[in-house]
Amino acid sequence: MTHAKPKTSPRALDPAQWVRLHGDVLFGYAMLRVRDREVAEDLVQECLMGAYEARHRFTGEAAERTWLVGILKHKIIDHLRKQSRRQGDQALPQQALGEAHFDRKGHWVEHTSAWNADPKTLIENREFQETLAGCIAALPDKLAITFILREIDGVESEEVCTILGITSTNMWARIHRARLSLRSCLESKWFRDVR
Amino acid sequence: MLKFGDERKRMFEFFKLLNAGCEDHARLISLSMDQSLSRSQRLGLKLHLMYCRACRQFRRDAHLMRETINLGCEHACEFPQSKETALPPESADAISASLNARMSQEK
Repeated sequence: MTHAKPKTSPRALDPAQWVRLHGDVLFGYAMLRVRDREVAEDLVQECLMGAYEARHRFTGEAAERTWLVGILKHKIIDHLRKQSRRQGDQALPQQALGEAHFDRKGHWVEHTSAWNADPKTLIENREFQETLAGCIAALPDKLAITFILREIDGVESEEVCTILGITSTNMWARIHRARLSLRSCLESKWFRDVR
Repeated sequence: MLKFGDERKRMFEFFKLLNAGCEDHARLISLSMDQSLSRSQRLGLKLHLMYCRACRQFRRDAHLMRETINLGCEHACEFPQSKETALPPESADAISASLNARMSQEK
């Protein structure tokens, strides 16, 4: 026997409550991606004003917050696109590579022991989420934004290259470095303590 | 039996990979998570993983990170939620004021 989900009443928007209910989450979302308080504040404002103008397009299928985050995501991508047009494709400076993960012969210098973690348990743990967000925030800017766009926001590879104005080789290199750094960070900030 | 035929370039790539260290193989592991590798890359990586525990561990960890992130994004649109990222009060007030002003135009 299957249990049908209880029908929820059609969702309605409540713009007067947006800042109170979603302001912090939207700001955190923008901060992780643009890494500049003023820009993040402006983007939240643009998002909410834009959402108000587009309120007739809200169908109620998604939750209010999901809808607002979707609008913010577009504003952030527009911002990143403009920023990359100004800066051009810059090669990563050496210091942006983060810590060394390999010795000169190409052997691992670090060893993580088996994490043995269950993804479901991990994501339900708020502290883990915060640790992960902290590790992403600790990445060099270019690595972080490339990783977030592709791996978290699920933007297609070609689109990521267009937004950031980089080649696909550069994009893969950034994602790989971000992956190596995130793994080291999670090992030291989470898994080592948990064991 | 693998046939390399005239694909000298691929054969060269394969032998180069046999001599490559973990750094190159880790890069291939990352790449394989997003696109399919060439036959020689696949074979080279497979051989390396047979005897390299550290690279096997990296592959497991990288997949675990991806799986966790994917689940997290399904769980909440704002994943991962950061700590201490409150919208500054003055900014919250300014945005509320702009929204209210716009809303009152409609009334």
